Amino acid sequence: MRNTNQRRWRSAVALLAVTAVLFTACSSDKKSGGDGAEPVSKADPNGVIKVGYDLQQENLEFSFDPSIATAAATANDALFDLLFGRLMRQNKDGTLSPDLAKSAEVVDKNTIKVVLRDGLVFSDDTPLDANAVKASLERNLANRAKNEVGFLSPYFSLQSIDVVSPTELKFNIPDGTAPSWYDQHIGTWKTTIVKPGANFEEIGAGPMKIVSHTPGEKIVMTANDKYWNAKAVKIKGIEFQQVAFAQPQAGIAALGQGQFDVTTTDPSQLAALSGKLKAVSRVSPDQTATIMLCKADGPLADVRVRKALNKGIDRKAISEAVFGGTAEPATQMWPTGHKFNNADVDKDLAYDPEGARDLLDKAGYKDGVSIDLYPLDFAGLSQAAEVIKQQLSEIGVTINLKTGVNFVSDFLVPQKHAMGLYPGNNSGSQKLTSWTGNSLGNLCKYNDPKITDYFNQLNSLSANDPKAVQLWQDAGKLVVDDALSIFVLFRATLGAYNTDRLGDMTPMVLGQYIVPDPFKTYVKA
Amino acid sequence: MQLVVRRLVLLIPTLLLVTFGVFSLVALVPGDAAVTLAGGASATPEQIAAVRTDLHLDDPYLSQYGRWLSHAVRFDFGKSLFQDQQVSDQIASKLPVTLSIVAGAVIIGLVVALSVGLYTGARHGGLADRVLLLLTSGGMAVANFVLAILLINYFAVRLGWFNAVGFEHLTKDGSLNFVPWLKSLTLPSASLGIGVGARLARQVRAGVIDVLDEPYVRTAWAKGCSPRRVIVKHVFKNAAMPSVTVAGLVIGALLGGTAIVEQIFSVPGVGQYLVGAIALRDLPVIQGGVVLFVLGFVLINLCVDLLYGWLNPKIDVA
Repeated sequence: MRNTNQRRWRSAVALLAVTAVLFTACSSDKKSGGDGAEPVSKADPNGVIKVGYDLQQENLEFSFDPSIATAAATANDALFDLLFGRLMRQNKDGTLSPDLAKSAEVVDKNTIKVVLRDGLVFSDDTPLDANAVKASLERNLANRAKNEVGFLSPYFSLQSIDVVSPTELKFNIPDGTAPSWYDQHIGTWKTTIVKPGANFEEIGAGPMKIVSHTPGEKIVMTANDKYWNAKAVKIKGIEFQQVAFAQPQAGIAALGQGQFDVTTTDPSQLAALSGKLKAVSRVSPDQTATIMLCKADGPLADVRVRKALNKGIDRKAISEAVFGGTAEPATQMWPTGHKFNNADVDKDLAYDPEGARDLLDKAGYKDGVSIDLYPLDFAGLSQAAEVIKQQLSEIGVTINLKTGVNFVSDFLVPQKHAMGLYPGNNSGSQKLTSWTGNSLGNLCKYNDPKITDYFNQLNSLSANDPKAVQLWQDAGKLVVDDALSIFVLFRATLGAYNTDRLGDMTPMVLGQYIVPDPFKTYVKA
Repeated sequence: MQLVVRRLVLLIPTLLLVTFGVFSLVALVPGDAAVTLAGGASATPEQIAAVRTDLHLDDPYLSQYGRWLSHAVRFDFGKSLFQDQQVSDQIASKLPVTLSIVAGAVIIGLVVALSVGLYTGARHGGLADRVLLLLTSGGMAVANFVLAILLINYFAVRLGWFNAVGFEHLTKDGSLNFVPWLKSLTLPSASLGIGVGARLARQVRAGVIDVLDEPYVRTAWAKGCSPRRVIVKHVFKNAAMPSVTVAGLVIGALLGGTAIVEQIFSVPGVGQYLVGAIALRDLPVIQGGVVLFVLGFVLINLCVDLLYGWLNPKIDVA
């Protein structure tokens, strides 16, 4: 009996040892580096890109109908572009290029003239002419009660659309904000042109057309050969498969397995990328990490304290620690090098712990000060808040982090006299609504007539107007001199893609998630 | 029949209690759907107030509950605050997905429980028993979401046998899609079922060990019955009784356990729908989901009680 048991134990040990050796032998070493430069490959003309995409976004299920758009539509701008195209397409540098319109220009403060290309059709051969554009935009305007959250109120300055000819229209904007209306809307999903008819159909005139759409699960698109510029599209199709962005490891696993070619991810997954999986990022001047400040009373009412807080933050360290170095430090509303950036004040709020301590001392807080900070738990901001807390402790500021709370109902709605770290998404003159107007985002209802004046003036000017450049720089100086917020970073949208499958992976410019640009990205043959 | 009727009658106060409790909890928890609907940080107080009035969110709390109840008794759970869709339609479309995963988990759990439990019970004290006990301990200790990630990394990413995320419906474009459906179910069901099986295996093992010492079992051995006949015919039914109780509780909990697994595998089921609704404070969806889970739990326990009667006709389940 004892010999039998001993034999069994020896067999078990031997079996375990063999299994361990097999596992070790079979485990692959994923650490293989590339040389950085991608060799140019041939494009597969029938290539279909598989994109991991969150089509549910916490139950705000994506809809292609712009007239019922929720705030989710802005996040999904790229999908609208693929299906519908747009009048003008936004480039990476913020300029606009003609798409369905061969020209769109601001005629005066109240009028925008749009001229369409000749012979445009939707993917089912329905003509896309001036009447179709008019019907589409009037449909959005008619549904204001339901869709103001998605469009935002400045959109509704557009009061009417006149058809001048089959390819020419006039947009009438009586309140004099036509220039800023043009900047904010003409190149976005808000001027999406849908097929006219009593009921909405998922039929557009863009580079792609829908083959099938299972809401919340999958969208399959194929190249639209009726698109005016179909020859420039480098792929045969694109498929969007549901993956929850709240579970970023799931997207990376699917990417590694080959289920996706590209997906949006977050900083926590950067370390998991190796071998054929590489990161791609897109920094936008409109996507920020900013700390809003209640300047009504307490230490934050003192400009010296606000400046000290700005100077106490090492933005580069936060970018490295939390965002893998992909985010760009921010010390004012516009990034360094941007035409609206005021270079004279770019360094005024830059990292300077000695200067910060000095300011706090002058403000009477030599022994320290304690302030509450509410971070919104999104895209790495909670982790950034931890780093900020540690950095500010070194200049004598104790940050009480309020985590695990609802940012909107616990901080914004009661308008707490504290600080809030949030992901800004405002573009153009809307950036100034952080310090003017009646929205919750203007914490504690800060009111400076000069800011309001800048806001009103910029609303009536195009971004290309030289006056706009000067106004932005003046506004920038005012905001920096008064340290109205703590500027932290210009956020990057992060993605990961399979370099064995995709060549020249370039994200589309708009939208909150990574979608490959069909005019640049291709599937390798 | 008497048991079924009595259980269904008792279901009504249970539902009332649970839905009122959930309604109260949602009212107490911080967060305001009206602010999110009005646009979050870009919303003005006037816009928020308008949304609240429009959705009756500023009505007295009992009045809101009463309005919801008057519709719910007709299985009309209203529309989602954030989508222009009926909650009952959404739940009906997502329920088959969740039920598939739960059914798969139950099957995997029972296979593991019976095979491991009977084998280790019959050979308790031996090497195999010890190794399998260790494995069942591991199965109980590892959380289902951790197991899900491990299964994805090994079976999907490394071996490529399954997709890492996503779900294939049983029918596609009018035709049967059985194999892809089964493949898409496997990892999510295994994530839930392995833990269930590990728990139940211990119960079955303990039951088998107890029953093996019974005089009627010794008689069966003495009569020369084969081990299979002894275990299956004489031991199993009597050993299963305590396991059935635990099975009812564990399987009932599976309904709620699908939420995290559905998130990880991006499966469009009721669990994921409910988690999203909780984040948004979408009350009609939360209430609809809660009613569904309570109904499911009560039905499962009713089945457990009926199973008692079948296993041991001497028990008066009524």
